[in-house]
Amino acid sequence: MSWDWAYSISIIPALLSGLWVTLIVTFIATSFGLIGGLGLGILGSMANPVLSRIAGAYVVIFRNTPFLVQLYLIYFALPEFGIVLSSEVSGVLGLGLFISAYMAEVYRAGITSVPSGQWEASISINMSKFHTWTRVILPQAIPPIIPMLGNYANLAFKLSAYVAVIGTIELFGTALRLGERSYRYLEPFTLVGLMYLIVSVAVTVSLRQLEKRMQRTRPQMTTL
Amino acid sequence: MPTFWDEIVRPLAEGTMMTLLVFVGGILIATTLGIAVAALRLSKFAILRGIAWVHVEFFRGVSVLVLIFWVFFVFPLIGITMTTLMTAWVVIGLNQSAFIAEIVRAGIQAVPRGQVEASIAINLSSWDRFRNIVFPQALPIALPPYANQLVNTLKETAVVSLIGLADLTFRGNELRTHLGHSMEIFVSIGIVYLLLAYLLTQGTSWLERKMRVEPKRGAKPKQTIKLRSFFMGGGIK
Amino acid sequence: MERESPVTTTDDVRSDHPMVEFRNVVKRYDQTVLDNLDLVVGKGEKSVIIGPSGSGKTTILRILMTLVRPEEGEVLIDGTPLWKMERGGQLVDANDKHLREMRNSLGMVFQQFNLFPHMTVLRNVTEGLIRVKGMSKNQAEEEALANLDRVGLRHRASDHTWQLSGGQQQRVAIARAIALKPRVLLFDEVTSALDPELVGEVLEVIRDLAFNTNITMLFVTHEMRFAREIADNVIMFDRGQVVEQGPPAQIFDDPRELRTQDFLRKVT
Repeated sequence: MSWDWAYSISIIPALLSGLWVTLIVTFIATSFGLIGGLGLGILGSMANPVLSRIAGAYVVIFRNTPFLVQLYLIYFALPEFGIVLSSEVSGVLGLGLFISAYMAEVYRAGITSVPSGQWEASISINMSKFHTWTRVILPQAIPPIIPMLGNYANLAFKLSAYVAVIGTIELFGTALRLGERSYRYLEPFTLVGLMYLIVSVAVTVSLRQLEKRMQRTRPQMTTL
Repeated sequence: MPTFWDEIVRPLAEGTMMTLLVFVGGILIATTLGIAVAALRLSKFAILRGIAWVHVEFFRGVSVLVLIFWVFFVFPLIGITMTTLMTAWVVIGLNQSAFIAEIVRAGIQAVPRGQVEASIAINLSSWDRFRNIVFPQALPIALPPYANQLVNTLKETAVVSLIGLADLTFRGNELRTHLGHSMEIFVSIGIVYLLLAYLLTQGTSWLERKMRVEPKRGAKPKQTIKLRSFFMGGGIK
Repeated sequence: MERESPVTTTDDVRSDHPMVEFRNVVKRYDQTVLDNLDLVVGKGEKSVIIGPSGSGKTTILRILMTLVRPEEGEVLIDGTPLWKMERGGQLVDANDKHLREMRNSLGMVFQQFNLFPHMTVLRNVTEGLIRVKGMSKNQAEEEALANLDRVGLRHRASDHTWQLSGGQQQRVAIARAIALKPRVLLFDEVTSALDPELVGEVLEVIRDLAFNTNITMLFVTHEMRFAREIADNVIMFDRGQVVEQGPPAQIFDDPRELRTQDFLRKVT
């Protein structure tokens, strides 16, 4: 069995449109994750044990069970309760929920690394809770953890392939379909594999550069 | 709920067995390979370091799902036949080995330089230096991230359900098609995975405690204590 | 502390090489740390290197202990090159085997002690004896206990290192070094990391070694009074070069160079 160049070239348009869907899915899910993770991270750092334990439980559940099972739950189980979501929405929702659990931990680490003196100083100038978070704590908590958040965005990109299993036609799903139709799996899967690899490694390398540059301008911040 | 408890418990139990089988095989391969790659990463020869770097970047960068399908479909075409189980072991082993290699490497490099210098000062050979001084100190450092990685591997095993191995996820999906009641089924499966993950982390904690080199230094006082006084005493005025 | 069984070395006093010699040694990191350094330490001599921090003093010891390789120059231990070796009549870069052979004559005590935390006090000392000198476990333990006895810590042999105070740990580090019977002992600011009340017990042990053995010793230290007491030769070092050297009385009471005078004024 040898490589069919003509076939490879012919499937590139299909693969590119699949890649486009993958990028959209990743983008929406990552945004969801960034915001949801922030919320969870804040909840998890609070003194109120009820709130922080709920956040903690969420993180434990979503980080210790397979993503695939979570997708199945959303796509197959929710309809039994009347919530019917399309496969695309289910996929994005599932990925978003999963990633926010990871990002929550990163946010929490960033928040707790802000020196306690900052909290005390805000109290002493009678700053409101809201302003303390938005003007003092988060601006210090977030910049050092950006590379780590980026890593998880990268993870979201790689995991997005799973949404093909519940019916979304993104990059991996496209390869599957092409293979089934033409009985040639070699070219689609290899090209798709390379595409995931290239994007993923590019992101990893850029994040490492970013981290190095941040080390130089913020020498007092330790990496997490 | 279905009348025959056997219809549910047995397939799920068998699925759990398969999941564990895939897990153990994958972890064995991943750990041995990971240690070897870590050793290469720290070698004096740039070529060996380069090969190890490529291995790590490649297997971390590729999605397991894509890789397992690629191997499953393409290997037979280039003449390599493997059982599905072997495919699962090989792919999971290779993928996880990249993460484990980095964990081992970080553990070794976390051993203070002074330890290496002191062992040079008493003229230990490189091998004795590694075996008796560096490795015993690197191990307890590497265990917590390793435990984390074990749980990750456990989660990854679910992917084998998509190439036809009858693991826990596969059985769950199968049951769903026969019986419906997806919520109960998948929640139960989730609980099983959670339990397995819990056992893994507890087991490694126990190991870590047995191996600890010196008593844990005083932990940093929890920030939440300060936050409590903030939120109880303070608030929007 | 017992004064029996002095640690003696098998120095061949008929050989007329100095014990340690640096010739034109250059070491560069970002800047030049050692600048065409010439240094000689005679057999059995106790030499103390003093000088401002960052002057390169520690680098001298680290080059001797084979932790760091010099860019240029020669380093000789009892006339034998350390970083180069002879092969087929030519001098080539030393390989690992040669370095390990040369290391048999050397020992070092570190500022941060660097004891092995996962081993007991006894095992810290026996490790080298078993792995390097090839002794059996029983022989090694006997020898180790004798050395621990000499530094006054025989009774703590089965404790773990973290259970000891800083001064005690440093004494164990000394026992670990002398157990291997080195011909040259290097002391890198061995009391700088200690609380003041613990310094004395360590200096006491060093004093014992200095007066009762003929080991060649090279110190980097800030303990000026101690230096005056035990040194045969004091070397003032600054910016990679020897500023002046001589007997302690001369350097401390009558320094000739301006930099020496400035430095001594700041530290005493």
